[in-house]
Amino acid sequence: MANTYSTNEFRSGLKVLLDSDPCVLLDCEFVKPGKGQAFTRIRYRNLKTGRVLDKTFKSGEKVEAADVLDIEMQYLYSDGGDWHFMDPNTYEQYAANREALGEQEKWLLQGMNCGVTLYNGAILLIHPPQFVELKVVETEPGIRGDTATGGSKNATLETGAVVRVPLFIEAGEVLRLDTRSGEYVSRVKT
Amino acid sequence: MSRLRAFLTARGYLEVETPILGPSAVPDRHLDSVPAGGGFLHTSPEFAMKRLLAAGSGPIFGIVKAFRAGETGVRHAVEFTIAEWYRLGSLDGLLDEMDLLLGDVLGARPAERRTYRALFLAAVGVDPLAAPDERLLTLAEAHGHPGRPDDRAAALDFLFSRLVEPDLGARDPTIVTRFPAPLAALARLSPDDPRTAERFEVFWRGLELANGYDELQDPREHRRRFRVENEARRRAGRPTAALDERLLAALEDSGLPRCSGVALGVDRLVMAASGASRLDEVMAFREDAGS
Repeated sequence: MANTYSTNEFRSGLKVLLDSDPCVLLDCEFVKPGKGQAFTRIRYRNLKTGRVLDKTFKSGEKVEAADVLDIEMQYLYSDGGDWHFMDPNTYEQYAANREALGEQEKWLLQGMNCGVTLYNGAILLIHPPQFVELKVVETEPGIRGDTATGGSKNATLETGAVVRVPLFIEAGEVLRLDTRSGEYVSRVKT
Repeated sequence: MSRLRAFLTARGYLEVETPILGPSAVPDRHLDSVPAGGGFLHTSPEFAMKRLLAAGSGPIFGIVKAFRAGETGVRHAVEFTIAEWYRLGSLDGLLDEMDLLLGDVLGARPAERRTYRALFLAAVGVDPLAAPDERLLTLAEAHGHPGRPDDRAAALDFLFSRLVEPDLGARDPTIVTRFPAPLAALARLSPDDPRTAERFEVFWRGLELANGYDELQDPREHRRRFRVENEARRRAGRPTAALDERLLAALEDSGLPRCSGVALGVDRLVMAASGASRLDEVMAFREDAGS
């Protein structure tokens, strides 16, 4: 029998199984109208689909805990089909498929530490650090002195990601990037 | 709290103290008493105050701590403070006084008075008094009630809390009057329409502040309603409560005078007065041990 949580144990951050998918609780509220029955209303994110939904429970109802674990792992390499990560504490290796990786693939550099969400012992999601530093491998030559117009151009990074960068950026420079917005932050002095 | 006390004292109410620890739990399908010392902590001073009224106390008020097991949330605490008062006569005088009190404590304008039916019709589009049970149960489920509601009262409560309450009292306080009879609790039924009861609730900015009745006097009807509540508790697998025979004896022997009473959540009143959105912001201590 798996662990369960009763509604009075609900708190944000709790990982539970809802509609047989692993979900994380974002918000929970105890609701009791007048002299009526008590409910617990929650807002949760389905970790598989990323969708945020609402649901109401009778107080005292139980839900099954989801075997979800957030840990830090090191990205090792990709063999084309899978992306391989290692738990630096146990040296155990885990493979992530394309579904788990989603859009994050373009930020992964060998040796980089990443947040990993494990569900039933397998990789469910990959969270690259919010800021990464990557080298520009290709970009059109910049036109100096044109920064006042706020012009920008594409640059291809060593991981394959293509980002908009200011015109003065040149190939070979290392950039600091925000992986959540996908935007250039600054140059990194090397 | 001192303004509340001054207001009620100035209007001729006598402050009384009632026991917090008593021998029996409350026979209410949705309230769980906290067990203590071989008995239970009260969920409100209602029964003791009614015994005083039956004994001829005249208008009385109490500001007391009350306890409700398992109620912990942004707007609920297991231990909280109730101000409860009773005056002789029908609801009208009590409602007018409520306007004065909210004006005094919150600086609010007189409350807008709306019937439960009018509010429900406007927000849900269904007549809460006339719609068949089936319709209300299905509607509650469609609006996210977990599973099928047990009965009409549960469906009405759910729909009202989901679709009506959040918008109540947005600018001025709102007093909701004439609750449907299945939600009468211990209010008398309306003499001109037995489908509604003389129960009201006060809302401000989506927060329920107070709940009051034109009090039921008939001891046999009390007994019957307590049994219905206990029956609902039994069906839900919850412990039933021994009836408070001393209350029932007082109602039978001397009888409750015609009176109206209201219970007001003091912590919530402070929330409303200070613009807080969580009880934590106005309660210095949130222990809720064992909740």
